Amino acid sequence: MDSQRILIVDDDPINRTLLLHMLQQQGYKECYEAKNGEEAIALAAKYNPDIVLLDIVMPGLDGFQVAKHLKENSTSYIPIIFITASDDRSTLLRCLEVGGDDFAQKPFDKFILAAKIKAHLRIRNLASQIATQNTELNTYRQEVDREHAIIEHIYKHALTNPPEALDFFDVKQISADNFNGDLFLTQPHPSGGIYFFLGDFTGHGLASTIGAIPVFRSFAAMTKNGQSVVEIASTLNNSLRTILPPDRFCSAIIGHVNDMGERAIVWHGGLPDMYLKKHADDTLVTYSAKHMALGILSPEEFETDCNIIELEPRDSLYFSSDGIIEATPTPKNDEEVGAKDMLGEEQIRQWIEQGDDLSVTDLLTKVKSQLHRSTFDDDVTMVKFTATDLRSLKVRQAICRLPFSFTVSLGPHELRNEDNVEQIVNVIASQPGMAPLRSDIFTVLSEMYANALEHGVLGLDSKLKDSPEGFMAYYEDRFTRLESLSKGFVKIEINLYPSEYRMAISVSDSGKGFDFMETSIVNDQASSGRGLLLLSEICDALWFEGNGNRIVVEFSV
Amino acid sequence: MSIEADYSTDSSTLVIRMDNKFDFSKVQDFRRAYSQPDDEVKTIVVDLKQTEYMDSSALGMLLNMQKTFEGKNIDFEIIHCQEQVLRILKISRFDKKFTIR
Repeated sequence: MDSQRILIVDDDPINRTLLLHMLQQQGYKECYEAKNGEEAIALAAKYNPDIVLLDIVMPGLDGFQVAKHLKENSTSYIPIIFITASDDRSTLLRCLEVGGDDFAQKPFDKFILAAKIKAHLRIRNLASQIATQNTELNTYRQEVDREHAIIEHIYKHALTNPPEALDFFDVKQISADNFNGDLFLTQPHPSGGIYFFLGDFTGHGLASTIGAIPVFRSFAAMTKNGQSVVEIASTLNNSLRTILPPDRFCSAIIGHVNDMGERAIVWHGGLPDMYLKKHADDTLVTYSAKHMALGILSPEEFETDCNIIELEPRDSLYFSSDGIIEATPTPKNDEEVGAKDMLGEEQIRQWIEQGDDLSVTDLLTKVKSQLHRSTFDDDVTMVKFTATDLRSLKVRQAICRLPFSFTVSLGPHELRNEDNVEQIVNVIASQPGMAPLRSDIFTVLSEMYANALEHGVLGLDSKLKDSPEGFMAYYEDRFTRLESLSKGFVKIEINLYPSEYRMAISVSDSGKGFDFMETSIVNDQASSGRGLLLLSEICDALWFEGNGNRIVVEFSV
Repeated sequence: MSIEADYSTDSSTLVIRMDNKFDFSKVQDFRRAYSQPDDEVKTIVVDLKQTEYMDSSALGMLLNMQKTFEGKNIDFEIIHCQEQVLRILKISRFDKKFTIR
């Protein structure tokens, strides 16, 4: 038995000796004797006994007073057993009332008393174990709080959305815990337009936010490069699949709205339905998730079909994490609430359909009043995007301030290269501020170059392309004529006028030109003539010069 | 990179996966991808997931494919378009003749 300290308090030396003898027989080595109340209090303070055997009737402080004092002044649980000659019920009751834990009547049965002492020491040991664990828990708790505070700080400073992009969204996020397992991100597209990401990681609390930083980083990097929703979805899926444990994943909506705010491309995996509320006629279109959440499927299994949503000004897109549709009413009394009580997608859909341009706050107010609750058990995020012109988000990276001119003339030898346009675009797009225009310059120059080469230099007639056989013949001709080409040129000039934010591209060729006044609008069936349509849609101005063998386009930068 | 063509297990769908550039240089490969269609084919899907650039000759190639199958009651779909590709398809009003998704 490890050393248990026992304090015996009795004014009668015979009783003390009897008790001491009995305790020593039981193997208790550390026993202290007090002959009155005052001495008992002094010894208790000095030796911190594990149990006190206390007589009631003593000169000076009586046993009741001593018990009260010991209980009040002890920092830990200290069992007190009264030893009394009385068999008066009220005295015995009083023993327990003043804080005593048990009593034994004199003359005491030493076996019973020994058993009681053992039992109370057991409780005392349990109490001290609990006290130790409490202290440990408190220390641990403080450490966790401190760590949470650090991580919260990091999240607050690392996961920030650029305000100019965030301004286009009506977003409300309510956390079930210190940490939100929902993540809403937005970034501008470098050539105007906007990206958004709503993710709901499995569970809530700290563990659910682990994936947030890598997602934020990849999203920020890829959107900055103007990468497609499809590429973003595939990349995030692969990185989450690598870093998250197998039972963790992230339901998500990843979207891009183009610069004019007239078209959204949305990848939708595992989140509740997304709604389009048309402003013109108040109708509602529902888009359901097409895919599993991010972080589950291998790259080979992962699918990237997107919803392509046409938008008109003031049309609204609503989307949310599942915290709202799975919210249940506050339980009344002992009622069980379960899946059947969940708010459900249908209710949200009805509110949006019937409401008049509801804000996210309006919707959350409806949810709370319907469910009679002011908080949610899961993380809740609701987002509304209202279609509008997003060209203000165009990253106005300072363009080259000097007006420059780039001219290249390609003879038969160079014309046989297949990557001329690509090479020229690489030169132009690498100039300061030109990267966002890369796609457009590529498309425009490809069309102009193809026309100059095929019709101007090679003299191919696009009428040939009207039948499937002719179509192939046209490209076979193109190949053979180009192979044997011995004279002719295509000349490309690109001029930047930075003070006017304007770029002009002209392409001329050695061909005989054509009657550009006769050029007709293409019909939808024609296999040719679409190049000019593309040019006129993408560029601000387009005209022909000379005898039609020089074409000039202008667009703003 | 190159063009891949695969039939679904029941041979009803032919999926043609284009690579990063869809222009006249693909004219032979693209035609070869659908040149000997299974009689069961009901849908031809052109997957542009990888395609960053396309030009008007690609538009011509797509229409040419449709003309080849005229009267055969086949659905044509163009999927996984990136923004610039989608823009070109929209400007050219291809959404009238193809299911774009």
